[in-house]
Amino acid sequence: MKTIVTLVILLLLAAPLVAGEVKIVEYKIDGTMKVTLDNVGNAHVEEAWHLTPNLYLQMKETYPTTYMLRREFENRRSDTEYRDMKIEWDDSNNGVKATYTMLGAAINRGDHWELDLGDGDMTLSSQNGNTVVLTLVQPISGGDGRLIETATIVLPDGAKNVGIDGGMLRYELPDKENGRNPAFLGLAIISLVGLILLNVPLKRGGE
Amino acid sequence: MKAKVVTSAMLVLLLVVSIASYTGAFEKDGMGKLEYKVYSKDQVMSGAYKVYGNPKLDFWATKTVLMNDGEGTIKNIRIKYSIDNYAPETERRYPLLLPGETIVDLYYPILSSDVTRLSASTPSNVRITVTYEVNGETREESVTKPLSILGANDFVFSSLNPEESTGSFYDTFSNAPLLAAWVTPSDPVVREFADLGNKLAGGAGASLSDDEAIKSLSGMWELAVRNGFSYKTEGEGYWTGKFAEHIMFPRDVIRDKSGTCVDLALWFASLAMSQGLKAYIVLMPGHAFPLIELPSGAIIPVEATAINQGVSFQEAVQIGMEKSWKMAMNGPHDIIDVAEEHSNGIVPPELPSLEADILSKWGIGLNAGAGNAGENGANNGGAGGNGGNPGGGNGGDDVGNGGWDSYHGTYFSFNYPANWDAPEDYGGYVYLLSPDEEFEFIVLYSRGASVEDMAQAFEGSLVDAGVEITDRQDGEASLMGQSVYAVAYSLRTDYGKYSAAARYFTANGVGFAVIYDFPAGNSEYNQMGEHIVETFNLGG
Repeated sequence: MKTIVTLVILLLLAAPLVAGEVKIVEYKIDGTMKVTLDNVGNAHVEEAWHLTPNLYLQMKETYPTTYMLRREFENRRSDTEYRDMKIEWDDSNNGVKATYTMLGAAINRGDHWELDLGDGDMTLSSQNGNTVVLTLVQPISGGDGRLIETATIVLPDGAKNVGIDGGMLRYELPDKENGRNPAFLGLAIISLVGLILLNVPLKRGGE
Repeated sequence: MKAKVVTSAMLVLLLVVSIASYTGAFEKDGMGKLEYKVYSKDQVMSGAYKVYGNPKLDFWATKTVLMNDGEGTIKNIRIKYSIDNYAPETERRYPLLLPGETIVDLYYPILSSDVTRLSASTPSNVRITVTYEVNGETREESVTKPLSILGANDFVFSSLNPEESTGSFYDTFSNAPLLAAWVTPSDPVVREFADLGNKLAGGAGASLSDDEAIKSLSGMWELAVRNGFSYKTEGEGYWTGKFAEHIMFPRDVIRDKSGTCVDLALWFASLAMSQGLKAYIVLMPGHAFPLIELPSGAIIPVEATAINQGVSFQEAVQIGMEKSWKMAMNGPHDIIDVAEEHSNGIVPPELPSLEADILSKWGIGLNAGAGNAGENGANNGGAGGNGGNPGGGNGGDDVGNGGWDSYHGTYFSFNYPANWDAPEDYGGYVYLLSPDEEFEFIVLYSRGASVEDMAQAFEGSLVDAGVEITDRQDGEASLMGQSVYAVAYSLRTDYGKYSAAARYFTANGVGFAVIYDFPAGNSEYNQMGEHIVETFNLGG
């Protein structure tokens, strides 16, 4: 009979708790982002989030002003200076649009540049010339939600040896410091060839 | 001929210009011009000191913004940081800063563990030195910013400066994840308390099953109730986020037997995690409470402040579900996944070692005399150990040795034959077994349970144990001079036919079932059961 007792107490304790279960729901936002990097590592960003109607209303309630929403954009990278932040609610499409500039987004390491893509998961979708397309998944609202964004990153003209390593987009730019632009070298060669052709007598038939 | 000369002259000019451009001869010999700004936090929290040195967590202490507003390149930039007495010098290097380029450098100080010894805010300084080269010349800029190192129990809810904050919930509680540093499942004091709670629950392996987890949590809760734990209301301004608030580590809650809602939430989450369960802290305007994840993944909210009313664990969950959780979901809230934050690096500081028997020195124990809600004084510690036999010769002939002992529990007492093993309290029920193991006397008790709950639980467990109830006669019977609901059962078990007599009643918000069972037809044990029931009394 001893076994009964243990079961009794478990039943007593468990019965009221069955109805006590709750669910933690994580929300998800889809977005697109176009990042255009200039020659000195500043990023000019256009970003759009697409929300469900319900989530859109919740967001507007949580962030009654776009000033408050601004932190959700800025908190993703502390190591930049944000400038010209403009955020708009798009009631017609349950979306949020933002444009801003990130000063110092890419860091000059001397022989190459590095753009931090964040700690979230990332998948490289394509790379064509100086354009890289990625899918980034990042936590927002302190981890209560996930932002899944398709990011198109346009690197400066002349970017080469582009690669991603450990959450960093790495690229090289022509060394501007010594002014050795290969276009001038080409022009010099053309001038020299022209001078030679014009002034050096060539042996022609009959002469 | 003239055209040839002109063309040649033009080509020579183009050649010269091209070569000059290629070699940079036309470039201005510009000079770099460094502009800088330094942003600094006003304070760091000692209790969470480990987070500041972890760049991934991004709780920087100082942000240095360098811009080159000149026309030449700045080279060999070195930024040095230190915090007086608490963080040694560290250096960051950048080879180049081009005209128009910006560098934003963040300082994540690796603070000395000495900060955990601070009991109050202590002033210090962050020192920043920037050295760089412009046109071959080395220059240096130095900045000093004041920094307060807060005491180990001080918590600042917001990381934003007042001028930045909108006063919204999310701005006011932007530091909320750092509360995870106050959840200390590995603290020996917490573990000892949890072990004691498990002992009260009759031994439970919380991570084995939901039932075991609930049993374990109930035991810990019951231990706190027995020891008179209480809820301390928060002071004015606590929730404004403007000031550093005193947050207790769970060991402090155990020592003081009280805490605010935040303290109690951190304490109970720590207890649950010490048993291998996951825990969350829900923070909402003006309140906090813990969520506990059971082994199946089911999550239960616990209104930890209900400890004040001495309610049962089940009731605390019920209040958590019906009030706290609903309130949180109807407004802004933050749910802190403690295990995840710990794995991210938001971990507790080193706490001072305490004596091994610290709980008993603090008056915490199964036999605590604090009582709950003034109901019960001494509890079951006196089992079998009181002086004399209150029953005297009462029933002595029945047991053949003429002696009785008394059991004094938290909620009730009764007498039993002195030559039997003393009854044991398993946290929720007290169990007495005859030496021949044919007679059982059981008292079940549960806060908040009704007569129906108690009867249903007992009968349901019989069925689950494979015991068939062949007959059930309900009526009324006497107990403590009053008439209570009673049921006489005929049972078929693997050991043969048994009879059981149960009396169900509630008193002072606690549901009771006083039951004895014996082999069918054994009148001696039937009388024995009635004798014991006659001695049953409420109060320890």
